[in-house]
Amino acid sequence: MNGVHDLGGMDGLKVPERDQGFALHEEWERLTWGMLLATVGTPGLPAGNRRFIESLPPERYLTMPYYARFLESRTKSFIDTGLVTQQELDNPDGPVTPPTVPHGFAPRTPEQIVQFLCEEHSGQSNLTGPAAFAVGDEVVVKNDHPAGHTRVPRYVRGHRGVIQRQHGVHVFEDDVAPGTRVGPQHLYTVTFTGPELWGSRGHPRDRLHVELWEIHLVRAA
Amino acid sequence: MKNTPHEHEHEHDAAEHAQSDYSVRAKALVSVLTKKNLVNPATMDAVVEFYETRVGPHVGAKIVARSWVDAEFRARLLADARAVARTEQFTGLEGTDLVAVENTSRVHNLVVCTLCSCYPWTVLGLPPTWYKDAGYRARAVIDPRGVLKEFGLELGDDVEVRVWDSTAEIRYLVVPERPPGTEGLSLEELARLVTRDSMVGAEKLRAPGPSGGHR
Repeated sequence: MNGVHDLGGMDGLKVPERDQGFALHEEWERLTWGMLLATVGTPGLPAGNRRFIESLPPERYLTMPYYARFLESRTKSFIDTGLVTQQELDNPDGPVTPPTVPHGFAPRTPEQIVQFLCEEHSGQSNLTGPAAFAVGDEVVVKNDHPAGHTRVPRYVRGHRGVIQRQHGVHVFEDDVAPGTRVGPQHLYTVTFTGPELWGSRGHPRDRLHVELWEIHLVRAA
Repeated sequence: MKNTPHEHEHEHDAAEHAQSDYSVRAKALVSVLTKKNLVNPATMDAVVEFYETRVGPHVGAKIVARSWVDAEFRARLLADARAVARTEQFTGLEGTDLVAVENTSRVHNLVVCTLCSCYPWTVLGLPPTWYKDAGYRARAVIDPRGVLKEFGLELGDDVEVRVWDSTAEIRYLVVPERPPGTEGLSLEELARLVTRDSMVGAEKLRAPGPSGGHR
């Protein structure tokens, strides 16, 4: 979707000061991040909800603290799946009803989370197959503006680039139309020059690299 | 009239209010999830502790320092960082599909995630606030040299700037140049010179001064 999250190239925002030190500053940020990683990916609990964050109204997205987006999206996921109710959240010291979880459900233990954080989580699929493009091939990014989640930033759509690296077959992350299915796809790093993307504002010695899946690309004429 | 002292106060109050509201909401959610046995609070603490003490920029710094002194390691790292991460056991969530890119006197690399905040957690830990900031994400791709200049690094027109926008699961580690005047240093001393931001490409490393200079 053409959401506010797709920020590449937007004017009017200031370059931040570089903060040093650990990322989690406030206690609520530590609670939010700890809760998110302790629960996401646990069978029986909701998956992550990137779509919710991308659908936030632009004025809220740009003014909310970073971790507040996750607090809000995670809260909504728990409510939407019926595991938690708004009434319970409004009165956290009050009674709660037992949640509907799979038989034998247990929350992750500290040992399990450390193992989860340390094990491999690759985007690469077990599937193989011939790649349509090779390193050095010139390609054009399809100009499409899907309503759902996509990993194609607006600033590369319709532009011409060169395949810089092949990554093998990776799980496809874009939303697709209901009832259709797009399987894992070859993933490539595509290189664009500054002037190709930004015209006269692009520096001739800038090279922008973006990962794109095969379905996003056509061979340049 | 913008930014009168009075309005500043209001803005400050509003920000404080928002923080306390988030605090109430985070505590309420965690309390309800805990009572329902959907989360184990000790597991939440383990997550924060893991990224505060065990996995952070010191992991990347050791890799970079080794790449300065061990040519064979450097070649393997630049050719296939994912395989090196597996054999050297620094793989994990957000960084399994790792790619290392090297800065030279002619090439400067800068990493960004314009769509969200993807970052190589396995070697740098959790991303700093500036990396997730809308202004950085917006400008790093259209004007990387301007961003770097505001960060205090001015690059000549002859330097190629390579920006890596992390749109898939590939995560990038920038291998900064070894600063001059570090010939006699041990691996541990070299690692202490390597800053987090240099491994994102936001700064170059300076020669060690009398005061140290490590951040």
